[in-house]
Amino acid sequence: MLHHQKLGTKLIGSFIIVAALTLILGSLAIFNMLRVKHTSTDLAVEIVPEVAVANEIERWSLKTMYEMRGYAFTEEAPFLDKARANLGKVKENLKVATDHAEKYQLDALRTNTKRATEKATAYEHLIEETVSIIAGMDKDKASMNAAAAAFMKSGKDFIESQDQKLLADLSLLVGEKITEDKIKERVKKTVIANEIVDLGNAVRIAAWKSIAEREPKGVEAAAKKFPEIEAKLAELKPITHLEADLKDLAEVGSAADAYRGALERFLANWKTSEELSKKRTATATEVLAAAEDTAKNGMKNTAAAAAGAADALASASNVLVVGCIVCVVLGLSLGIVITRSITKPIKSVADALSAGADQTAAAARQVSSSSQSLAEGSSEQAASLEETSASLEEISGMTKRNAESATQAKDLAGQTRTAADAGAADMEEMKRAMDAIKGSSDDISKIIKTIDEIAFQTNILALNAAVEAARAGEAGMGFAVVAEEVRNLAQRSAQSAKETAGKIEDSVRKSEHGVQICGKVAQSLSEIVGKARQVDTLVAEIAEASREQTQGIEQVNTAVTQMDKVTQSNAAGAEESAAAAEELSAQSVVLQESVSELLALVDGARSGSAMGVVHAAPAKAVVVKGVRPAAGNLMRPAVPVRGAAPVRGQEALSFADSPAKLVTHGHSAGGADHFEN
Amino acid sequence: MSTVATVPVLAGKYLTVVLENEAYGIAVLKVREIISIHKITPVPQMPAYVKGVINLRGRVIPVVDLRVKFNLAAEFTERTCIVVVQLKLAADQVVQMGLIVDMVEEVVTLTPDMIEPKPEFGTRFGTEYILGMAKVKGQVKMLLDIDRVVVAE
Repeated sequence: MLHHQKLGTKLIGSFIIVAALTLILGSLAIFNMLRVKHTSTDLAVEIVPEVAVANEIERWSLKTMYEMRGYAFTEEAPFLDKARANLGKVKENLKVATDHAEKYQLDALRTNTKRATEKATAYEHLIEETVSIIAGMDKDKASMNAAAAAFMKSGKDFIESQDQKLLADLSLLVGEKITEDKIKERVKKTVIANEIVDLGNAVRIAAWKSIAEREPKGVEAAAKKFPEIEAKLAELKPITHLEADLKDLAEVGSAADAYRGALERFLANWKTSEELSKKRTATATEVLAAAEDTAKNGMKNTAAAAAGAADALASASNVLVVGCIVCVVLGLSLGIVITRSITKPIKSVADALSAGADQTAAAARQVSSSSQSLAEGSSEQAASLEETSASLEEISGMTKRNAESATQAKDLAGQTRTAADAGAADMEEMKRAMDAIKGSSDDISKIIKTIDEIAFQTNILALNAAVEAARAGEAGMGFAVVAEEVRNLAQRSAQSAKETAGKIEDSVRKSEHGVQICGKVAQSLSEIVGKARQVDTLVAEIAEASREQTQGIEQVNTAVTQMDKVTQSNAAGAEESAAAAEELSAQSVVLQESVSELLALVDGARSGSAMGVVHAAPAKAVVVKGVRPAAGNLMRPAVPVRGAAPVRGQEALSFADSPAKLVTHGHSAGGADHFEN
Repeated sequence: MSTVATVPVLAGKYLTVVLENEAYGIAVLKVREIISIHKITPVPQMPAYVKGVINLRGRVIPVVDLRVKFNLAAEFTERTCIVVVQLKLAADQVVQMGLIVDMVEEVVTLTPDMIEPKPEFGTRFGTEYILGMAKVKGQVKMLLDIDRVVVAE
């Protein structure tokens, strides 16, 4: 297939193939790069911000938890403020995350963010609840302290009054104004009152201890001591008589109740606070879990994207390597193939050209010799033309005589034909007469046959008569003689009939022969008529031909004149041929040099020998020598060749080297001299 | 009957007929009539030499072709005639019969010196119906015993 393409097509085709391969390779590489770029962009724009915001959320959530825990433990406002601020940060980040998820349609992030946002809102509510619970607890503590102070004050008042009374009673005891039982009773009251106060203190201590230890069980245990206080108060009440003391006792009782109520409320609030704390932790943990999920997911995506990018880059580099190898191999093989397909034909063309140049040189020599012989031929031709012209005059006269003779011959042929026609008509009549003779002969034949028949019957009758006579014996002797005579007559009659029949048959045969001869004569005459007609036609044709011949001879005359001119131009042509042969020689030299250059171009310097440059030079001299005198012989004064010859010669000289030029000039001059002589 | 004794008896008038360029003599007293050829009506299942029957003036008589009888090819010409003969088949049975011959020549009178006895060929076959040989004008004519010619078989 490659051999049948143009050179340009081959080259362009191969470059197109290489370019197409490069294009395919580049496209593959660019495709892979774009894929990696896309992955990286995803990584930078989607996943990294996702992870970052998840980490922010986690961090701020942890800080919020930390601050809330501090607030829950210390109940100090700065912790709460910080916690709120941190939660605000968390919310901001969640909003950022939501926007990010919406922007890049990240489902996992969206789900996690939604979950986290819900939980964060829940956490905010929990903070508010916690704040209110802690406020309640503070109020409870205050009421507890107030109740405790009232309790202590009433208790102390009661004890002091009893102590004063006891001192008074003791002074009375000395005076024995009072009984010992009364004092004992008074002491008992004091003891019980002290026990009540101690129990109250124990309860408070247990409560504060419990608060300090953050252990609600202590408060519950302390609350169980209230029935004991009530029991002591009930024990004390019957033995107290004074109005003021009873009032103190009632105050102690109510203070104890108030404390108990406050304590119980505090306990309830505390438990609620504890539960809230757990809820907060759980909620925060979920937010953290969501953030962690997002972060983990982001990290996983990051890892996947990185792996994908690495794979794509690896495959791109593989494709590039393989493609490069393929391109190089294909390019090299195409180069080799095309170089071969170009150099081989060029080399063969160069060889052919070289051979052609040699042949051209040889041909140039042949042309020069041909030109010479052509010139000689032209002179001979001119002489022959003169003779031809003279001969033509004679021929013209003869042709005219021919025409006259032909006319006479035509007349004679017409007469011949008329005579022959008359003969043919006579022959027809003769034939009819013969046929009539033949018919008469046939009639005579029939008559003779009848006679013969009669003779035959007569013979039979005679024989019967003889038989009868024989049978009659002696009596029939005379009859027998008659019968014999009759029989003899019959036989003679038959004999005569037979002879006549023979004569008639002979006559018939002869007349038939005559008819045949007559037919032949008629045929001959008709042939003569036909031939006479042909002769007539031929003679007419001859007359016509003679006329045409006369015209033809005139034309030949014209042609001879033209031939004369042509002969002269032939001489000029021979000149031109000689010059052309010279040019041809010179150009064959140039051609050989070009071929050498071409071969040097194809093969490098190795076959750049000067092949065949040698052949041309000898040819020139021969050409010029050969033609010039020959042409001169033919020239007549007005012929243009004389003027043309030197010009042609000079044209040829532009290709010839200097010695040849000298020779040419010499002969041109010689030729011109010859003309003038 | 001896040959020598019969020769004088044979002398008399004979009608000579021709078959295939050979002349045969038939005793004139045996001949009833000579007629030119008639239309012959063929009779089936007859020997080949019996050509059939002819109507001779109201009488039907059989016709025998002597050419066939003498093993010659059957052939009719212009000169073919029928010779009606009277045959004596038995002592008192006389029949008429037509014999087809090529032509009739003449009635000749044979003297005893013109008659030769029939030749002895050393065999009995073929000579029963020959009475003798007549020498007439340099020719030899066979005298036929016409009774035997027809009823030989």
